[in-house]
Amino acid sequence: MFGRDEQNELDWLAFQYVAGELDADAAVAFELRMAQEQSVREATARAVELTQLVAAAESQFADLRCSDPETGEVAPAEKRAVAWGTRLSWMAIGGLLSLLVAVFVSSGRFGTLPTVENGANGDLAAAWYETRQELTASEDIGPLHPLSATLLDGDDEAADVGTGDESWLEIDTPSWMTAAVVGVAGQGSAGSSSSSAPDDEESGVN
Amino acid sequence: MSSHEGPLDPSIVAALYVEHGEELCRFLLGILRDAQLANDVLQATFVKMAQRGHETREQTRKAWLFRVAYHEAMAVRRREGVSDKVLRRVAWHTEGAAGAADEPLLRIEAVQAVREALEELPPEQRQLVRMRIYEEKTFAVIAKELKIPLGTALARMRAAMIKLKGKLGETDEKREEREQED
Repeated sequence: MFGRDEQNELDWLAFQYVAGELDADAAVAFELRMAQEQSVREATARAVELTQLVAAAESQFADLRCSDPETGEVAPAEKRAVAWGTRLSWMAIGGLLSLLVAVFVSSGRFGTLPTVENGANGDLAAAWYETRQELTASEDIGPLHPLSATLLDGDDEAADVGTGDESWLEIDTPSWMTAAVVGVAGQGSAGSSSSSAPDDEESGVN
Repeated sequence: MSSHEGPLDPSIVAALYVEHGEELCRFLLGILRDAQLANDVLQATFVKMAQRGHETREQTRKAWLFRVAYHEAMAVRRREGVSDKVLRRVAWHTEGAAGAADEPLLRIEAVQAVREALEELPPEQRQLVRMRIYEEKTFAVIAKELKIPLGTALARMRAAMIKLKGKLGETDEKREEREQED
């Protein structure tokens, strides 16, 4: 059994080891002791535990106040932590607003979406339309298919499936698809060769 | 050597995991500096206990576990080529680490105890602790920033750690007393 001083010395050595503060020779020597002595192994575990607890406690303090890094004096407490969830929400809203602005600005009009131009982008929209026709006519589409959610938005629309009335298909075309196609088409007609926001929208959807 | 013949009873292995798993995980984190590797070695250690635990004596099983864990960890370090740079990392990151999350109530109590102990530290010691553990600055950097000798920085930290360790020990004793009363 160690005396108190010996125990403190061992714990201090263990702390330096887990903190990566020992030089290479000292670290090797400590590890050799670890191989032989259970007390050294347990001291290592204690050092990790204590430092984990201190890190957790300090992070709680850091959420509530800041300090002068030079003097270490604690400034008057101010709550500055913002939950990451809140930050992400604002970022998402900002991104969506930027996208909408880009779409409307590129279209040159507000309030209405322009028609899809012919060419590659028109082919994309046409392919989507045809796919939706095939799927709605197919009996394989089940309630869990993503299209079901857009198609079957109420009993009235459910009754329209397979009846040949496709006007609601255009209305229910996902806004992200329309915005993507329109955005690229708009930029293409304006002579722009790239559009990052619509591409991001497209790549994010499967 | 042991009264058991054949593989160790799974319930005994499970009980050993409950009793020593968390401490073992911290120990492995101290060696490997990587939570995932620590978890992997922890599992491998208890697999060995299940396979060969019958060769051990009940009184020395904890030491046996730690010894096996140590050798497994060193083997992983050699095999994975864990670099000196990794070993210079601090060992107390808990992301992905097992064990601690299994006893949230105890952790809350222990963190609270350490918080109180931190508030009781002299300002210069408190500052050292925050800069070394929370901000993860080396003692050399801390000494330079505070314009103090390296030895002074080390001495302050050592004194602080002794006080914090004492406070944590008091918390453990109180918890054990409550468990005995229950």
